[in-house]
Amino acid sequence: MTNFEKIDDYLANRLSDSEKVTFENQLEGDPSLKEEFTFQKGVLKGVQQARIAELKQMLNQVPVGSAGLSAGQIAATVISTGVVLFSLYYFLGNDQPQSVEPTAEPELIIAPTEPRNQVPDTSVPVIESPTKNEPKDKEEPTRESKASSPVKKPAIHVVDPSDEFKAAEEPTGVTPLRTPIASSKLEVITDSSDKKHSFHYQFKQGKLQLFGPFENNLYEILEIHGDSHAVFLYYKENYYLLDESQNVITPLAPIRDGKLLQKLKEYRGR
Amino acid sequence: MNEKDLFERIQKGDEKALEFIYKKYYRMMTKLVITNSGTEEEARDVYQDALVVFWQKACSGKLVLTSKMSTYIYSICQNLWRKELERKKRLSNEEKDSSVSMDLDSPEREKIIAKCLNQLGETCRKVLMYYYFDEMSMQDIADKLGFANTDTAKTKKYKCKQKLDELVKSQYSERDFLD
Repeated sequence: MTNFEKIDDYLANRLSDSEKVTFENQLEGDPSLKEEFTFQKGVLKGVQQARIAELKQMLNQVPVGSAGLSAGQIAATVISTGVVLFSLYYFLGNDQPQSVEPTAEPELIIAPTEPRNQVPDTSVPVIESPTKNEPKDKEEPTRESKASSPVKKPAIHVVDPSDEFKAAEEPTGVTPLRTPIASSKLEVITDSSDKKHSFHYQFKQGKLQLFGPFENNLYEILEIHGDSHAVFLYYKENYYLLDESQNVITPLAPIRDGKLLQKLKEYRGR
Repeated sequence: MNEKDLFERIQKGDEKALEFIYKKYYRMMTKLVITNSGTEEEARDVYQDALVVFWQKACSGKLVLTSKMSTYIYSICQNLWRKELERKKRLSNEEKDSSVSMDLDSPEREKIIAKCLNQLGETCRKVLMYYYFDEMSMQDIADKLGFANTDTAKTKKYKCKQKLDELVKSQYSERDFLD
């Protein structure tokens, strides 16, 4: 094996432990090898940094949406107004305004339907192969190395994402992230495998079943409580009325009524 | 796409799968930093760094997941942000001791290598990055870049590295590479 190959394998973490020790001993006793080693190490570090920059640039191009409701792949958002009853007026076609005062603001309840069910540990729960070492600098690609310091370790308030994780495990399928005003009993099931029904819904045994590529994008369920009860779906900037009595698979048709859309936008935005 | 499929795609170096994960957990991961005195920009930076670590470990075959991917990535975010807070605190203390800035961390070398890598051409650049950062197997590199077999991949990698070394040596002084 040439010096180039030895250095290369060492720096690429492709030597066994015993080979590493042998190489390190050789390095100590051979200044020219050490010089070449320093050069190679610099080059490889440069290649690694270039790759990190490339990956981060790629991630920067990924649209992640706004801070409010995005990023979670799927969210079932339940707006429980408690008493808001604009729905009767618009949705039921009643020309007489309702005189009921809302008793509470709508509550956004975000519950990912992905099976994200674990609260992350504070330690890294991983088993790594003991046969390969890894350069420590890869742990923190853009951060400077840590020097010894008497500085007290800062405490991190661990955000408990269990609210976001565990919702999918709850029997109801929808778990409040924040204090619920009126928890929805509505369970949402998505099915993207049904080729015949690419954008449909049905209510079956008290559960809402959505057919289509809902796993790939954000969707929200808006539930209006009041004298009457109405359920809406928000998906890709359109609103859909979901008829709870609909127990056959039905195509989803976007709502076109401007006034109703305006009201739904208002309530969703709260 | 289930968790297992997604992880397998990551292990194979599928960048689309990485993008999918990035989007999927963006809010959850950045929330950790934002609720711990971080800005949105810092949160994004930490999350991206964490994903890069995750990516590298997965591609290199070093990672055997014993938890969900999100749990693992979240843990890395926590560690990175804790270290960043320590670094900030340390810097803050140093500023109190001395107003002289001692910024010796020059990115010059990285710039040199990046420039040379670009001069090598797309295939060489990818081979070297996949081998030296992602630590992919020769088989995966061959599959990804459409080489006939692992021997072809090995030869290509060897030649590309030699070419990169020559390029770097011909254009820059040794001093640029002193740590």
